[in-house]
Amino acid sequence: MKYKIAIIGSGPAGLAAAIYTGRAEIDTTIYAGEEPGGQLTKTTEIENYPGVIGRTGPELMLSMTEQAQKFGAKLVYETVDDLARLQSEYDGVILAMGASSRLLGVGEERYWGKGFSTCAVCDAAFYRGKNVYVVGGGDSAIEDAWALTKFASSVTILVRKTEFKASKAMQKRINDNPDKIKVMWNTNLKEIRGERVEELVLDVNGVEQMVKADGIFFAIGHIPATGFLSKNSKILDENGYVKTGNGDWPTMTDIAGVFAAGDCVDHRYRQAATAVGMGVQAALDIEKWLESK
Amino acid sequence: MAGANTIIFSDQNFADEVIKSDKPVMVDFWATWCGPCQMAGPVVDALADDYNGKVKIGKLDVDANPETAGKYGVMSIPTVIMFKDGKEVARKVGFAGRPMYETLIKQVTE
Repeated sequence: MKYKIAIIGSGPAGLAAAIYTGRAEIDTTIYAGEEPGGQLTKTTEIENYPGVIGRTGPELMLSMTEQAQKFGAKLVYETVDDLARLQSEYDGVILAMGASSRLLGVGEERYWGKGFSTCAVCDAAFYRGKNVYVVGGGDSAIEDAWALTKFASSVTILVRKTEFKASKAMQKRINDNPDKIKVMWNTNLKEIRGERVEELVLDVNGVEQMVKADGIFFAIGHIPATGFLSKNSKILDENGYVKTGNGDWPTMTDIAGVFAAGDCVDHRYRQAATAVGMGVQAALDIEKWLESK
Repeated sequence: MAGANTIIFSDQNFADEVIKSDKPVMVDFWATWCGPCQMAGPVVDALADDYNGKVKIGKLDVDANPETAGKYGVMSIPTVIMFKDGKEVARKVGFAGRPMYETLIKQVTE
């Protein structure tokens, strides 16, 4: 094989890129990162990925992984913290780290595995008969709350504003099941108390209120997983997304030979299907770029 | 789906396989419905192969074995717990990548 490249990230963008570079006989190593398979591994059924009916997110990601490996891509279960090292070891790099769950910074990290989670689908079953809260106002907050109703005795969504950002279809689930999911509007989580999650301090309409809780789930969106690129800040925008478009190369960053795709670039669409498309673009670009050097 | 050297722990065999084990043990708490656990599975299988004979490495399905998961207060998966001489010595909640698991293994082998 003439060239070798590294792909950082193993979600839809990274794996789609790897399928293409692998088939182009480019020696491809995927650094799988902290969440192999990416955000889809934390979901249930996939309804909007063309050609995929009745399969779950994890199933889809397992088959994408298998497909990339079939064409020779190697999967390394490590998290990259230094772009320069990869640049020196490989002929090119594709950044496809995706995005990670946004946190509030109210001390929640101390409660990982002790009642705090960002994956309701993973952890709902531990809350059988318990009293749980979900923070967020979008589709994923409602999906998470819904997943929790199968186990928990009480599910309450804490919404920062006075209305949901979620789609009509998702809001219908709430409206049709008022006995299953409660909603508190104008509510912010201020603090978590207890050895495990025991009590939440809330700000409700500007008034502090304490509630008992067994679990707290966050579904407040994602931030691009580009923290390790702080030394390469010239390729990031003010919100931490990777900027692409370098001369004739739409998917190349301002660093020659470093391409990017998926949710670490895209703050607008953020779909598995769009990430796949961007991954394919980056793969075709890096292949041509390597040949043109 | 487990690898050849990956041990399947359960409520029934936990005392014999983990608590009374003369070797250090790494237990991966997981479930079939946990996507991140499934994606992490190959790493645990690879470690079980590489540390075969030195560290006992295996998986415990929390769905089928609620007693053990409850006893160790597992509330989020994947969670990996390291045991030595029948006692918990280290724990990692959430997938951490192969290097982190090897760091945990070093804690019980050195």
